[in-house]
Amino acid sequence: MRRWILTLALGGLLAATAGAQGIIDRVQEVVLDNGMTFLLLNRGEAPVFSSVIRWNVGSVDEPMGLTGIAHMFEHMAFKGTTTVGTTGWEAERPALEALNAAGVALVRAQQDSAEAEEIARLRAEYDRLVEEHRQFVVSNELDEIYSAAGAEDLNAGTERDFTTYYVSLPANQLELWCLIEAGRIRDGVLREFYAERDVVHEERRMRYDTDPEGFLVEQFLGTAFIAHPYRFPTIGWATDIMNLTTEDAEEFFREHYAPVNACGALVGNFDLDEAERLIREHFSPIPAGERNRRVNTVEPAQRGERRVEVHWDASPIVLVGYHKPNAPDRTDAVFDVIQTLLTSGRSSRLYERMVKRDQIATDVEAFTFPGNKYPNLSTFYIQPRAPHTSADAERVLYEELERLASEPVTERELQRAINILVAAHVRGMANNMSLARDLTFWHFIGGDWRWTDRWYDLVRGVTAEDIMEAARTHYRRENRTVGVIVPRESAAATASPEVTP
Amino acid sequence: MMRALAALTLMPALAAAQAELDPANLSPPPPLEFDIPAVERIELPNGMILFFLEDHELPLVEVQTLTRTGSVYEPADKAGLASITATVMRTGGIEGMTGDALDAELDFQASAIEIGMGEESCSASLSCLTENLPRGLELLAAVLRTPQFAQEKIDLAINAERESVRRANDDPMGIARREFRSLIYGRGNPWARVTTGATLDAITRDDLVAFHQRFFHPNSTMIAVAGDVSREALLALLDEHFGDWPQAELDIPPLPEVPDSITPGIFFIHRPDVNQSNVRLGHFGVSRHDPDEYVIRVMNFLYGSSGFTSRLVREARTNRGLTYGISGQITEHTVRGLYVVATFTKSETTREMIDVIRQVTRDFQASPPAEAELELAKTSEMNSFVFRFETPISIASQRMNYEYHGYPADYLETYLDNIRAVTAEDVQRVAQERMHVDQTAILVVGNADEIGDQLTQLGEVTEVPLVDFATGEQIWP
Repeated sequence: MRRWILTLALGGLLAATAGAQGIIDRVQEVVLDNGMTFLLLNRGEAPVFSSVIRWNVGSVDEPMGLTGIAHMFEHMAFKGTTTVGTTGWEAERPALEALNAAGVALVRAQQDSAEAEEIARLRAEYDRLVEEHRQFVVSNELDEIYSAAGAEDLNAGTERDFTTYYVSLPANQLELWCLIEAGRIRDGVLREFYAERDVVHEERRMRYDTDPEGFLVEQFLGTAFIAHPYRFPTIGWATDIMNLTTEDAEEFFREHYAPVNACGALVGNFDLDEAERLIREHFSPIPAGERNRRVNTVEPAQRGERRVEVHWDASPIVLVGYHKPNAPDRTDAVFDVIQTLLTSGRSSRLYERMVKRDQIATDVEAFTFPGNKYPNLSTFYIQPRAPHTSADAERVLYEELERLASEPVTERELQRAINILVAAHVRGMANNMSLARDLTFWHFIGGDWRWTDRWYDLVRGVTAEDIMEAARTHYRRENRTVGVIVPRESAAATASPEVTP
Repeated sequence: MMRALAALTLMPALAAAQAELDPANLSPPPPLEFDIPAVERIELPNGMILFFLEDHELPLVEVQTLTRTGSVYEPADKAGLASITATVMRTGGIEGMTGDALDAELDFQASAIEIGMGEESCSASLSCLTENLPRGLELLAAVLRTPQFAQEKIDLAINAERESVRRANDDPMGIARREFRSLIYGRGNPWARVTTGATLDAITRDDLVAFHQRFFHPNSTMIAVAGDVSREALLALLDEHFGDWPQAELDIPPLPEVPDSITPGIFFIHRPDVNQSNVRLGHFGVSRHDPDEYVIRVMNFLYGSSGFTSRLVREARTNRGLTYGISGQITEHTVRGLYVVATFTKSETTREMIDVIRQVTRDFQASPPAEAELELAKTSEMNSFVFRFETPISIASQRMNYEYHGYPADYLETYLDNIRAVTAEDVQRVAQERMHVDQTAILVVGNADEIGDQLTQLGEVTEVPLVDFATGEQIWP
């Protein structure tokens, strides 16, 4: 019976993978003279397409003291261009330049602790110019144009590694997409910067200042990384956000947004030839620029466990992270399998032990964090179940990681994890946006979009010995960072828990 | 500064080039050729209704079921029963197989069976590779038909739920969402019910068995299937695994009523540790199949459901930078939905935010939307219609959901015409009739020390007790 199921499942997955590979093989690559790469793929029935433009720039590329500028720029990219968002650029331009100059002057005066009177004068001048400029602004016009065209999924995201812009449109809107997206790169205008800065500050309050888990994540990464910029929050520290200026945003754009640093993908049921023609017409005139440099800071090897506590009026949460190599290093595929084996599905090791058997947790998850372009963390998130404590959860986690390093996993457990990963990959093929994201991700992470499939060759090759080796090498106490939310009453009542691996 | 901006925008040399690049001057695109994919509707001999769409792009099959039940039918003193019944149907074993064995088999095949309880329906799903469909359907049928409700899995589910009850006050946005519903529907009303330590204590295995027996029958269940399977093969499999599921006389009570009116006022809950206020404002919304349902859709878009193009977002976010997110809309519900504006802002601008919401609403009611604004809303709704048909399973399950909720069979076919018919006068009339900005409940969850007297400036403030639902103890005030 067992053998039969095994054979059947493997047969299914092989067929599934073959089907998936057939799809990826149809990708058409277009590289423009200015270095911008496009990946075009026809699939599906509905006459729609999803688009991603991924920029090889993220918050790790920010200068010291300007955390949040990558994300702030991403917000500004929705404020329009010289043709979108304005009643007429020639008339608007002097008003905007005066306004942005006044904004910079106000921020600089605050930074230099100028006299209160001087700051009040500059603020009044700034407020006056905001009103004056408003008459030229067509608020949120970029959104309106896309909405009228029937857009879905219009959004963007900034991560530590990348900044990604996406939208899905009906298949007859290719030209509009080209006009707007090429326009955003070539003719972007920084409108309404300071009001948007307040919006971003509210986003920070919502995600990190009022949510204990968000707050914990920030503290945890700041502890796990001491040199590499993965330690900084992508949203930016509150005081950095409030000091950002249009000058900083311009500088960041000039430095990083050259076409050679971008990869666009269109996936869906659209006219391929027409798409290529329009892309060449609209994106080729964008001037070439410099390739972004990688962050050269290498996180020094960790030589001892690090711990951080967050005291909050909330229930406990535990985060545990171990430094490890990143994709496309084969070790990262081993960790994909390990993390899946440990926490993916109700029969996974940690779920079975912590949630089902010992009932010391209600949720346990393992994942790679906080980025993929540089060495990262194999991370565990555990929600302990009262009366069990964070210390109980840690103890069991370490026991299981120790076991992983000392006994080989069974063939069936290994196969189960690989099946889950490969099947998730196949399911991703059914979604235009998910495919567009994967293709552009691997273009930068692996240097080639073909890694979208190739990665799963590595996954399928992972052995029980690989898992032991990786666990022994990386799941060590001295390579570990632990972050916990400590409920306020117990923080007051007890000293920090004693934990040994 | 000048130089920097010039570098950023790289002004095109010729005005003509500029005009060409303006999307406003783009000629309209070729019309989109598109037929709504036909979903086959088949009444099975056992009373189940099948919605089927064949698709062979990938070797995958997706299945969803919908059963007429829901948490509104659970007794008040056993709140949580419906959702725990659903959880343990999946985890507590089936005839001839323990829950753990089921987990192991599904995981190994990378198949997924999940089941979730809603207020007025229960949905189960199967996602699997084509090869695993026969076994997947067999297991899905068993989960729906012969759950064993092993006591240890009931304990596990109740304990997990107890932990989430314990954590229910950790996130201020969660508190706002829950307490606002209680303010509108009335505390303890089935549409705003809260699971507590005490209601979990009262739930027994017999309750789960009885709840399952009462509601899960083929003649109260619909099934949608899409993917890599032929009609004949699917019908044979359904017959094999569901064919002998006996019909039963259905015992579905009427949906619970809601109060006639709400208590307007300003309500407050204090949370330490935070520097932002969660704000919710509103009153009752409408019932499903309201004669103005299409007007309400368009009105919502204009008022606050559409992201950046709405009045609320434009004023509160874009112009004033008061928030990262604000939404406002009238929702429909079988009995009665909500009119609700939901947002958050730093403590210091709590009152300004409330003033802005009220002012935007009054302005919105004062005059009909401009033709261009209305046109944008309607065009957007019509042009994005095609996205409802993006994946085979969304096409099939959409048909199922509309039938479940009593929409006419040609709902999708007539949808565009109904949207097209909405006028600016309709929008203004509905905005005036359905939103009463001076008769709303306003709930603020935030930090009293930072908010100061901003709320009392607006009127009398009622403190809403915050309860630890695990213990029943009042935490605040």
